[in-house]
Amino acid sequence: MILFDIDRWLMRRARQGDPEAFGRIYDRHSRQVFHLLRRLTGDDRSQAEDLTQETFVAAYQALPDWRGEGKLSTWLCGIAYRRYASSRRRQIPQEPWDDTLPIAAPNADPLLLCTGHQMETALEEAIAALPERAREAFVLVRVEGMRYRDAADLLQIPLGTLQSRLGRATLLLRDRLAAYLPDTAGQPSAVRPAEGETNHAVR
Amino acid sequence: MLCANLRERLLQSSTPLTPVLSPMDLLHLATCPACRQFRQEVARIHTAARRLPHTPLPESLRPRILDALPASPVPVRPIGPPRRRLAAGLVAALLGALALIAGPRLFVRPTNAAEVLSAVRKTHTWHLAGWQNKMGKQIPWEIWGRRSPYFYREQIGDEILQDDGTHRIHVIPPQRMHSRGIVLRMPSRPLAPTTDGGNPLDTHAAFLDGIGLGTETYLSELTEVSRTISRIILKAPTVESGDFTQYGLFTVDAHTHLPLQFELRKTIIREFVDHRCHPIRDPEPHIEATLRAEYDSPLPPEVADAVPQPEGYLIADAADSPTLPAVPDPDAAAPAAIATKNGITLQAEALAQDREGNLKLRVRAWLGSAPTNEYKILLAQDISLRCPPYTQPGEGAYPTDDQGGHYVQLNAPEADSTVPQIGFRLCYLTHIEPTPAGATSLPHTVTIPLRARIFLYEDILENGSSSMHTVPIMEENLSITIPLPGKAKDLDYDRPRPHDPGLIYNPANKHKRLRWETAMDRASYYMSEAELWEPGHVHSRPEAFLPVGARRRIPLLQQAVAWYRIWLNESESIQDANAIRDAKLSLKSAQDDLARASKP
Repeated sequence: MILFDIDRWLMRRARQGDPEAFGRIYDRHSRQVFHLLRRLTGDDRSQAEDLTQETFVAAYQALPDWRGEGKLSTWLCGIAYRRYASSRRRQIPQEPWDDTLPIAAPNADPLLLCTGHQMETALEEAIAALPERAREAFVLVRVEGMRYRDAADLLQIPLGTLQSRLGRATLLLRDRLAAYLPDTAGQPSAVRPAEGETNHAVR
Repeated sequence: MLCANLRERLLQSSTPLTPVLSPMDLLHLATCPACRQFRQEVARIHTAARRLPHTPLPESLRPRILDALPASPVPVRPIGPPRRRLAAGLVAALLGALALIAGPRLFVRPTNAAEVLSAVRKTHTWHLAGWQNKMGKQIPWEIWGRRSPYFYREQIGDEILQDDGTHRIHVIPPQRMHSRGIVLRMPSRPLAPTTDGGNPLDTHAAFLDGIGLGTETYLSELTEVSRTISRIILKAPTVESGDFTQYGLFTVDAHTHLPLQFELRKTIIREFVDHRCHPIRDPEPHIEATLRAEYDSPLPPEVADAVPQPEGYLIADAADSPTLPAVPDPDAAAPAAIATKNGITLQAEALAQDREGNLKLRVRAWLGSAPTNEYKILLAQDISLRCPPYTQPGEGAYPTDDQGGHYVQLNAPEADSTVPQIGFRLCYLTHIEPTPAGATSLPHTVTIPLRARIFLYEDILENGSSSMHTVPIMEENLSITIPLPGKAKDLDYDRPRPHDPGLIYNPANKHKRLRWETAMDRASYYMSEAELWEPGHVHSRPEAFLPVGARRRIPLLQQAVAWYRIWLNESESIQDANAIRDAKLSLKSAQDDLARASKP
């Protein structure tokens, strides 16, 4: 039995030279690619648009290289990341990894918190404010759902380093979004118990 | 320290929403409100990150990108499905693989390829001996082969595969979940020539996958890594497969040009923690399997003449005739039909035929005298149409009824219709042109081209966890004519019976509807047929360039547009955003094709 897989069908047609099929591939995946790039670039829409264009042109030229293994979206996101990494190398010197790099202080009014939309906006801002390498890891794995191994390969770092960056990113986001994260009783995080006040009888 | 350690594991878990925690962690969580709070916050952040919305793209971006594409067509290469990973036990042919290895594309210096190929072809017998890692133990692995008269014998531990050119005998010893071993007797299947993307039962594919080398595409990327006066080392690219990566190394004699040794190197990857909650790091690669080769040694009599006959094993002999059930299936609405070929027997019966002419069928398979469900999870079958939609339009006949009507296959309301099933197989067909309401006569038979594959399930413990591997052992194409009940009855498609034999029921698919599926498959059928009359298309007929091409194509595209509209309506009624998007895109594409075809 054959499952309906529109991506494979479109890829086959695109490889046969059907430009409309590639247009439909664009329609299906451009939003994911664009938003991956927008988040990687720290919400620079203009640069994300340029990189989206580069990604799809590169994907079109690389159509014969797609083996039909794995998801098409993962393949496109891989190309997108490499275009982004390449542009970053062209533009700026490598940013040194600095664990002490501060991120912007929370600027939200606690009274306006706790709606889904506001949480999304705050999270987008917090992701954009992450240190670059932590942002890359977090966007690829936590936002786009890429597998650890795929993301580590793409970033060309060991798994352990990827895990470390993910942990660092999550901690930074937790600090920045503290006001959006009510505790189990629904209280604002400002009144949640400090770690030193917990019961550690099992230690 | 416990808080800090637990939080680090929560932060680094590959499944942050459902992290794997030790009993100590759980106990700590139960007594530490701060860590519970921390866990909840991390989960909220990760959940919110996965749900971040995608806002619309600038409208101008699409034309900008599509206009920037190179004008020249893209070279075509076939897209093959991911090759099924076969169990390491079924290694059938070294020479086929060696011939592949020797292909001219594989070497930095092409002259080596011809020399190696020529050297391999001149050998008469071959003997490979080594071991492979199973459950942490080095299990002896030995292969004997003779070119003419054909002979092949491979043994891994107690498992034996022997083919004398007449019969193939596969001895599978008891496994962890099977207390009794099994002997499969099948027709011989000698070494097959290599073809790209061909039959997965090709022995060379079994060899390549069996030793973990993947597909020919992968093999074609072998590179020479070193060379001495006497040896050439070729390395295959690293392959990833879930929890491990691996690559193969081949050693070739620089003087005789014969491959001398194969080695599989593997690195385990785990994103978990050990029993002391320490992260498991990537170890160095280890040798997973190795074989050394000798050529033109005479076959020892104890190898060439021995017929494996272990005592106490179940025997499935493809040469035996099946014993069909004396009592018909109580669900059957019409008599069963039988087809047999080379040891595989199919029995098919119609369970229902609805007012539109859609069909629900059930197919059972036998290997020799044994129903494939007799051995419970050891044997399985996969029966499919040979001409399903979206693959090779025009390659074969569609299922056809006695009134000349054609059918295409529907995706069944299952969790995963590609999983080989045990014993029974449900099959749904949709009539391409629905029977008009009030029609007095329904078809009485349908003839279906089928492909039947029999698999062996292997229960393997690897990397510390148990997994089931499927190994294809037989494949036949058959055609079967099935009597139909001739009166309308609901197919139970929209409300499948969870315990219907042959159905892998998945409550998550409850939104699936017959009208949605039939509309999508009918539209795709018409699009595929229209491609046959599309000038310049890869599958188009020669007459497509003549005026008759457009005349044939337009009504097909009109039908496709009509069915895509129904598909869109159905998608909107079930409020499936992805389906709506796909349906809109497909409809627009068909409409565009129709507009172009209609231009004078």
